[in-house]
Amino acid sequence: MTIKRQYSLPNCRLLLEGIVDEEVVVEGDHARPLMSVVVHAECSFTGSNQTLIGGPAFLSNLTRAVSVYAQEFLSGVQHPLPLPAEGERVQLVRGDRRDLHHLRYYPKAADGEVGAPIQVDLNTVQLFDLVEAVDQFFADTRTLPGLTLQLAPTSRRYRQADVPAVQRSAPLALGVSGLALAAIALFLVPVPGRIEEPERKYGDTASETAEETEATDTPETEASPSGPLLNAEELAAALADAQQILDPTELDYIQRYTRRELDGSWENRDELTQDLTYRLSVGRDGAILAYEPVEGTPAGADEQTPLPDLVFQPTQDALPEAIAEYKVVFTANGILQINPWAGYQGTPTFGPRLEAPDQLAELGEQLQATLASRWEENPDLLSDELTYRVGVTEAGAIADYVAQNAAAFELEAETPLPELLDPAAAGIGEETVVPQQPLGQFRVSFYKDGRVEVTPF
Amino acid sequence: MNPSASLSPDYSPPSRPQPLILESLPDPDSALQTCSPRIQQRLDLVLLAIEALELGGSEYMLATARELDLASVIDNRVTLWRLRCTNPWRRSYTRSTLSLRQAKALAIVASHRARQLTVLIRQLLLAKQQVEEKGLPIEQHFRLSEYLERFRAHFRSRMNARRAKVAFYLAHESALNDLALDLLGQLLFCTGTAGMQRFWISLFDGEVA
Repeated sequence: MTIKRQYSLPNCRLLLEGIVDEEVVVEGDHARPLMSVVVHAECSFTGSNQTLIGGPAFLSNLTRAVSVYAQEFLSGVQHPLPLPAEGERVQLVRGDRRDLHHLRYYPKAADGEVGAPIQVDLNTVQLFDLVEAVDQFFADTRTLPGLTLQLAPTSRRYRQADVPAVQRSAPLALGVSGLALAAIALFLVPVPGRIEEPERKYGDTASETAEETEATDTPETEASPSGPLLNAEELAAALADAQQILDPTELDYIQRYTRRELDGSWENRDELTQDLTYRLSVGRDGAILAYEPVEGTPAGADEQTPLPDLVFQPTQDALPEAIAEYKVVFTANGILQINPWAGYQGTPTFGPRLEAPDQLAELGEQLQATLASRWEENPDLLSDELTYRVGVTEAGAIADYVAQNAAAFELEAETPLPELLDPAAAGIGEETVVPQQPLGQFRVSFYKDGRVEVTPF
Repeated sequence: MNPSASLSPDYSPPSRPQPLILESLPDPDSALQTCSPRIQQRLDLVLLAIEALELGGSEYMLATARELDLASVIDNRVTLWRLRCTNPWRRSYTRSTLSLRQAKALAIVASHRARQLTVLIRQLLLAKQQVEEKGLPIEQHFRLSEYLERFRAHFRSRMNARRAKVAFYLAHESALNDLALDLLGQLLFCTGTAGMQRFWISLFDGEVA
């Protein structure tokens, strides 16, 4: 008995005609009969008037070619497919675009000779429908159970390097031509004769070098400002004209930045015999523009503070537009205090924030991993727990952190945070010290026993 | 008396055997126990494409993992993220490798998500062809340009621009679009009857001896 099986998809139809094996016992009334031999196969595509028609060899060649090509499409790695010796060859060839595929069929002509190939051009969706028709046929256990899906990865011998051949051969070509050039050049170099002993001069070498360095140093320091420096009166006038920064968030960020600068460069803390108090004018970029001693601080005492080294002299060309004023106290017991001169008008925020829960989860996990790898059990730690608020950029850089408990404040240097801090990642430090990119805010606790906990702030 | 008190306090659920669905994918080579960075990269990129197709894609991936009884491999969002960070292109590349079990779980989840999105994937690929045939810019099609835009945004925010290949994609928008469309084609093939197996085996093309 002959039956037909059809695998139909929107763009492709695979039709098989075969003979039912009467010998096989049919289990149940509704079990489909088993097609054990195929005599005729047809493959047609909607939108194309070509139909590929053939016998059993066509079917097995088609299914094999399609299955292998599907794997090539997925991985981009070529599979070697030896062309079958018997007739009715089927070939799938990649077109010049990524989504163009040529299906070629070499049907057997009536006289047994190989006929002219039929080519069907398929787009990716049509190709997929053909693959799907073949896969449904493979999966059908009641049609030619001998033909099933056989998948195997191809060997790494067939994997193309990611770099095209021209590019790969470039270093070789360069090397060969370089060697040739070197050979020519060396050929032209005269053979050295007897080497004369150098005359020795003692004494004046050292002074010469000293002079040289001085000579090169001075012009550089003079050249770096982009205009004439302001004298004291002009500076005072400029600062008086400058707008006061009142935004609490900005004040807070500038304060933190300034504290870090001062704290980091304040040495000889034990030399102070009294508290030194200053009124500080700081630009939006965190540069210390001016300071004056207040509250009975002697005029020359600033030499004991890092202020003279850190003050940035504005030039005529770059007048400060806005300033923030702070009261800074270098206490006799080595503590640095800094507060806005006029206090805060409002509550400081953290600037723009990252809020997406997915992203925060990702960043938090990443932060935890980074910090945990640099934090070890520390039995000598003076506190059980150091807690900070840490601001992290989208890319995971730590752009800002603030101690949340007194111990954290004191023992900041024990944690990996100062080393990891990268304010520039959030656009801090170029024009302004307020982050220009949104930050994810986390509460980070370092524990004595080596644990690090990260939770959203 | 509280009836639940009869439950002994040290009761623990029986240890869970290997999720059965993992058996549906063969081990490609007995010598391979872990994945190459290239495989990890392909898995993550395919998942990235799925995320660009559906909003909240990673939540659906987790739900799919639970439905398929893969919770022992992918138990929460962080695990999923950590598995995906084995892609060397990632900013947060962890330098760890996926076990075959983990890679299978990701491939299974990707294929199942793709199957849910079959209609959309087909529509987008057909739209792409139509737009190209008319010689129009690809941005002409709203849904398609939305997909590309989201893919580029995901790619930009998660991949490490210091990697040469990533930098190239970031500098050439059309190349990044091609990558996104390429992945869309791969997703289409994942939707088929044997799509999951095909995708899985294709990962090892050029990786075995």
